[in-house]
Amino acid sequence: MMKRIIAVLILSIGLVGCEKLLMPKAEGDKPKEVFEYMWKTIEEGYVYFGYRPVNWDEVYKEFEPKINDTMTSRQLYDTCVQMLKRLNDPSVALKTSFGEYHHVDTNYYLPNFNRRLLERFYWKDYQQTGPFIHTVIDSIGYVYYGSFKDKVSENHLDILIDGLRADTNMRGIIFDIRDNKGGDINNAFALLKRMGVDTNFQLSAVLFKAYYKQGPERGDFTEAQTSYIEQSDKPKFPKRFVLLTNRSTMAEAALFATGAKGFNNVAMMGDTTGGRAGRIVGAEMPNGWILEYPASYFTTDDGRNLEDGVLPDETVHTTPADEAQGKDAILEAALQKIKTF
Amino acid sequence: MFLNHLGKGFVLLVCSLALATDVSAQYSEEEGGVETKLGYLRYLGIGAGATYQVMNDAAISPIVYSRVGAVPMLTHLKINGSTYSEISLRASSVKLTHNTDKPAKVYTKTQRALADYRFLVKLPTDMRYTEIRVGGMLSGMFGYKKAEHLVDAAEVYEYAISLGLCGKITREVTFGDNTGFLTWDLAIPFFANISRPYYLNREELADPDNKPVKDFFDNAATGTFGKYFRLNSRLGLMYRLSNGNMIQFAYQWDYTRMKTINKAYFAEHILSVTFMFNY
Repeated sequence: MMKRIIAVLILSIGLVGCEKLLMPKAEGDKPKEVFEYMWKTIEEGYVYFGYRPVNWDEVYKEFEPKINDTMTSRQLYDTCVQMLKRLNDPSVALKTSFGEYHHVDTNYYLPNFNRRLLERFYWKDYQQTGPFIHTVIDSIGYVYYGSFKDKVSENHLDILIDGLRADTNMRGIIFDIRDNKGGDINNAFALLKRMGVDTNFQLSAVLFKAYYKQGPERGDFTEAQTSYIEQSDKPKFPKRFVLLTNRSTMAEAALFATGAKGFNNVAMMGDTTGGRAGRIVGAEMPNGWILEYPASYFTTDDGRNLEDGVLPDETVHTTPADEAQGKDAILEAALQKIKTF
Repeated sequence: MFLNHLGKGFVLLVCSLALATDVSAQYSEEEGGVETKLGYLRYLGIGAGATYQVMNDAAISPIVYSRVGAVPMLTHLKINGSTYSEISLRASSVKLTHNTDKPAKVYTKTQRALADYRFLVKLPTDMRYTEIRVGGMLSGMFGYKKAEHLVDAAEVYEYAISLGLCGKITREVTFGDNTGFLTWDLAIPFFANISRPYYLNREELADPDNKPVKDFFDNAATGTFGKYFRLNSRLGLMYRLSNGNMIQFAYQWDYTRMKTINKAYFAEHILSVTFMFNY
């Protein structure tokens, strides 16, 4: 009896012992192994090799000799950061327990947005409904939406739009998304459903095209995933619609901008938007560091990569001289455009 | 800390213990407890245990994650002289972690639910106190992993529906005036339909018509050991109480490997106590 029990125990424990054989060998966390893993992660997942001027194989040849297994974590981090800088991509980041690398875009752009100036001269007696700051300027509705992270509810949109439509003198809407750095794409869809014109026809508007990495080879992308928005029977923003953007209009806000441009009654004014619309993914390295990089990219309907930004219909800048006079030149131009329609 | 992990399981165990000792089977004077008209013994089992989980999922990380957690279990057994059927359900939610970069402690929430149905028939043997049964197992597993430290690549949904073979050896043992059973069973699926995420855990959230559930099932694949390999080994000791109910102490090792565009390994060691109510 005991022999059988022991035999069963040995067999069962023996199977457990197989776990060591069945589980994969952990990736090594020595500097050379971490470097190789990081380079390979970018090689197999990064989407902008055909877009940004970087020869990743040459980068490997340059940095691989600098890595050795006796270097400290800090030295490895500094070397890896130098390697990642070659991508020149604000969407790439490296996070460790002792430091983080984020690429900074050193190009200079006019800010084209001064909230304090708006508050002093344009947002007098403003109201706030959910995430929207809104007021009426010369019979033109003005709405500021500062972050796509802030939830857009149907209820808030109904209150906002019903109020604007109730004013029979309303000449149009200025929708300001300057300095909006993105957030939840669902908020963009909620807004886009309230754009366009009231009609019984079933219309649809092309928003953008998405390309996702679907394999480790550089050309392994999905077919263009074209996003449409269908005509909605919900109340819409009335009459003409002018969208204000600047270089700090990024990510989901830039996607919203390119989608909004698809509507006939919409004009976009200000500066070209920023990029960073691609889906950023995080990857854990064998030593626990986290690498972030874009794994998809978006284009406008006519094929323009959103990393290049969305071009406005009319480029307008607010210069320091304008600001000194208490003028937001972009907003002034938008007001003028609606008045002259 | 350990009791915190086992909190719910511990309460479940205490409640079950109270029930097991208080609730008498209807015909407790009969050895073997209550039988149905067709001669089946039926048991409803409520159990809980400690689980040590080890996970390596290329869709999350190259690092091996592990941790101890609690797992509740439900079992239903139906046995007669020739057939044995068992439905076992268990679910767990454990925040797995690793110590690779200690200051940046990270967690991957790992939730799993498993349902196994075994049907076995007794093999004719000359052994008086030992039974050998063989049969099949139909199994379903759903898993969800969320690594909150990884931007937008953090969620992994997976499932496996599998069909396999299983065997069970039962040896009757005595403890003073009471009898019990020492059991060992092994199950290995050979055919499975599984789904795992797309490359880099792609979710097409930027599409208003995105249907994540449809995508999940569209990405399913069917195969044999290469796609899905599971080894489930259970060693148990069932102790029969005087009222016909039983208490089962068990150790279970459950190993799973799933292969789609990448590989995911999962191993689980469970020490459990289950109270089997004969009805």
